[in-house]
Amino acid sequence: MKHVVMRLLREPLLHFFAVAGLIFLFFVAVDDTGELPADVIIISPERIDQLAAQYSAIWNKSPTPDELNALINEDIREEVYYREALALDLDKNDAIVRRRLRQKMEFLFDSGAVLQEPAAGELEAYLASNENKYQHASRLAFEQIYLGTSPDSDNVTQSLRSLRSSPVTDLSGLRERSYLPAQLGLSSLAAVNSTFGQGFYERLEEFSPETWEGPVDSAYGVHLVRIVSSEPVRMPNLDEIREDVLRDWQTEKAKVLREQDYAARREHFTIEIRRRDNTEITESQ
Amino acid sequence: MIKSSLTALGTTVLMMAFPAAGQDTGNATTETLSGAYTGKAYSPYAKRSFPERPLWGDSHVHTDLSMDAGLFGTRLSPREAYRFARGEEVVSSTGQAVRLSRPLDWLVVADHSDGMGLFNDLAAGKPELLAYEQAAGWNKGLAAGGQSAVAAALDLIGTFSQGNIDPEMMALYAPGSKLYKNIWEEVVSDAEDFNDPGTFTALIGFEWTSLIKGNNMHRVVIMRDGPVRARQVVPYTTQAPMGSPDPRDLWKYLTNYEEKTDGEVLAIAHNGNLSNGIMFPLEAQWNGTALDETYVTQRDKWEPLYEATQIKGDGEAHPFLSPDDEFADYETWDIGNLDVSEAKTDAMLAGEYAREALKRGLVIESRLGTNPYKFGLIGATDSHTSLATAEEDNFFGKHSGAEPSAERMMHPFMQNENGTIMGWQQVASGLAAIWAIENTREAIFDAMQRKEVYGTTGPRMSLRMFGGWEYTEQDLNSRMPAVVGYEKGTPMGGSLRVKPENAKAPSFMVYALRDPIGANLDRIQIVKGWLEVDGETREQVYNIAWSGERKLRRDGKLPAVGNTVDVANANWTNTIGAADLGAVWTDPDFDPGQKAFYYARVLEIPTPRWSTYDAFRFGVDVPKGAPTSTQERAYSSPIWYDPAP
Repeated sequence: MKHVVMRLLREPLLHFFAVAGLIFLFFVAVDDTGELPADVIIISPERIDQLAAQYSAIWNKSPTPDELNALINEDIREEVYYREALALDLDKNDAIVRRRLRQKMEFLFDSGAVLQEPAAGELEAYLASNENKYQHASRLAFEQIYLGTSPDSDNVTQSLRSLRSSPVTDLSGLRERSYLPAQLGLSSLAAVNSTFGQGFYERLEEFSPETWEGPVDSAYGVHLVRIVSSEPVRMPNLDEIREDVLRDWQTEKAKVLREQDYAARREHFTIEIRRRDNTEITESQ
Repeated sequence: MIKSSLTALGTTVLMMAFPAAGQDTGNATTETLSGAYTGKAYSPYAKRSFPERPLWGDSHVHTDLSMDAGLFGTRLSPREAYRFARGEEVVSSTGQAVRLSRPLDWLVVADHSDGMGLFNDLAAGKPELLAYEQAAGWNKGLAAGGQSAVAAALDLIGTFSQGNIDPEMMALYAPGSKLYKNIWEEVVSDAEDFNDPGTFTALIGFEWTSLIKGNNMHRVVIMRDGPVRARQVVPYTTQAPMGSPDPRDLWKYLTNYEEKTDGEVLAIAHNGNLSNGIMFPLEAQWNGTALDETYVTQRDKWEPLYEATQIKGDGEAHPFLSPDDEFADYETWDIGNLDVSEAKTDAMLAGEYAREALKRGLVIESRLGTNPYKFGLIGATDSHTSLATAEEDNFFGKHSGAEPSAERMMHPFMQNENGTIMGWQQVASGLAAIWAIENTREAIFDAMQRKEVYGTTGPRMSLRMFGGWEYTEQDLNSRMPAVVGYEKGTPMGGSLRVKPENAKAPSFMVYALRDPIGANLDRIQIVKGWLEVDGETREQVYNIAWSGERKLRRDGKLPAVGNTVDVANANWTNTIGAADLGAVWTDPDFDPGQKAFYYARVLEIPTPRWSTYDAFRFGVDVPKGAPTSTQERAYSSPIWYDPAP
């Protein structure tokens, strides 16, 4: 029994129904117009404060007595027309009123739904089924020696051999002058190619790490390259990106819940669609 | 005595303005670098202490949230602007597929704060708006489409420019209204959604669109911070009662932002060329108020950069002000102010162009103790299409009405009794390159603050500049010149260190690489401006590195690089010019008693202008008066010298 209660208390749907209920109660509580006879209009002190506050929010100053008078009269005028309009059923079938009421219903629901907290394992599952969205692209760190636009091929082979034989070689004799960065820290495809030209990163990916490789062409000429470190495509673990995942999960969850809520409400109605041509109606998702 | 205490005050303000420059960013110093680089060929890669490559971006793109953009038919939102900037293909407002040649590293969506979101809501028929008679009428027209939509848009423009818009409705789209707050929240959360530290940065910003009788004093405001701080304010506007067109009031807003949120913010002015002389005042600001200590210290504090090149004209130099500079007349717009309601006179020009402002700054500094125009230089598009296009062969115009079509070059862009600006005169420019340590809001903002940035007219050439007292040719030829660059001096945007006793003149190590998919380089120049003893300013352009075997003439001028542009086929070849250029240059005319600044200008070899691509692709004539080729360029931020820092 206790378990059932605990489970119920942890049930997210229950949480937001509770919150939505509270918000609803709040609206009912502050809405005092319902209890009055239809032919009495009371402009309460609170209402007058509200009108004055709205005015100062727009004009950045308090209304003068005359202005306040005008605001109140305007408010009464609105109320009179509002009630008369309701009496004439003018709110029925008005596109703007309908849209506004639908917005209010959805808002009532959403304000509860965003408070959802995932149960254990839910975020992990969400992350697992949305890997593409979160994975980090691969990155490479390397250093390079520029050999000019058309180096002698014997020279290239020779340079490569001497570089490979002794790790700290005086490079000054090999390289041509270049203002390209001699080394680049862990960088993505976009970063590397924006410096060396299209296709450079892709060539580097074929190289084995820690040895001098090449020759490889950039937009500027020929290079020898040594991969210093690399980072494959990586799936971050949940703790690194918990906030992002939580936000996305909540957004998605809210969407699902809204649909559930709508479906539940729709259940109350028997819906008949009468088309002139008697074609079948398909339920929209 | 008074002067020195003023200088001290200026320095204090300066230090307050750049608290991050020396700390957060790991700005390179001798200690950090000598620790990281032991002089051998192998270095620790994990700990990068200075930027390796510039981060490319556009600090100034408008979307459908800007009223004028919406009016001209832009339907792409900030989300599309980010998608496009990070390299995705999108469909433009006129239905054309468009994509950048390469992604940008960062973007600032900077929509006009006045009326932000209003046009969108009008078109969409937001219930709150339709309560207003004017709005309901326009909505009906816009919804009907075709000629009714055009008529509604024209009526809207007319109503606005005559100030006949319902003030209560306008107040909904101004600070103080909940609706406006909601629009801003959405701007902020869109930026947050696309901000991906390390890969793509979406800085939060807006444009403050100050216009005094058609004279342009616009500023883009950029925040260092994320949503928590940005949401504590709404953008500052120019319309009373909440806003003001006076820069002094903008600076108060910026001060208030930092005090309220503990965040950081800066402002970047643009289009001085359309200000009719009021962008860079020498004596008194636009309303006649004399420049004073508050003005100069505040401007210096809040405005570290200037957007010197963009679609509405290049603003580095003007041939009237720089008659000896044969490259000064580049994509010049000097007919009048922003709406051409007032024609331009020669006397206005000195208050409009970046180079002259840098010179004026030296004069004002010696008078008031602070240089209000000690700014770095960037380029941006100011595109109103949500599309940051600055490439000649991929230019989508100023607004959606100027997106690619056979007719766009011959549509007047602006026309009245004072003159005409034709569609072909739009400039496919520019971009900003930021020497930031990493691709994050904080690192990019901090690099902007310390002015380690430069602007180009669109191509992505890489440009380094260091100033010091002891650079040598060997430093430039070393394997990693940037390491020596930081070790021995200051990068672009800084001030020369105190002159050593025995030093004769400052030396500058400058080098540039062409855009990896772009044109070769023609030359690197140093532009120097200085203050004479008599209080007059002077300038001089030095050629310091160039391609091929060309010889400097006796007057210091260099023969032209040549031109390979095939106009009929809109093509060119990299058979002239150089893939990279560099030099260590020592000022031959240095006077240690004179305040001075130095910046680098890099020219590409001629390539087809966008109008030439249009002529080729649409099979129309190159418009009369349009240059068939263009020498695109980069402008570095200056390095300053002060005899008594």
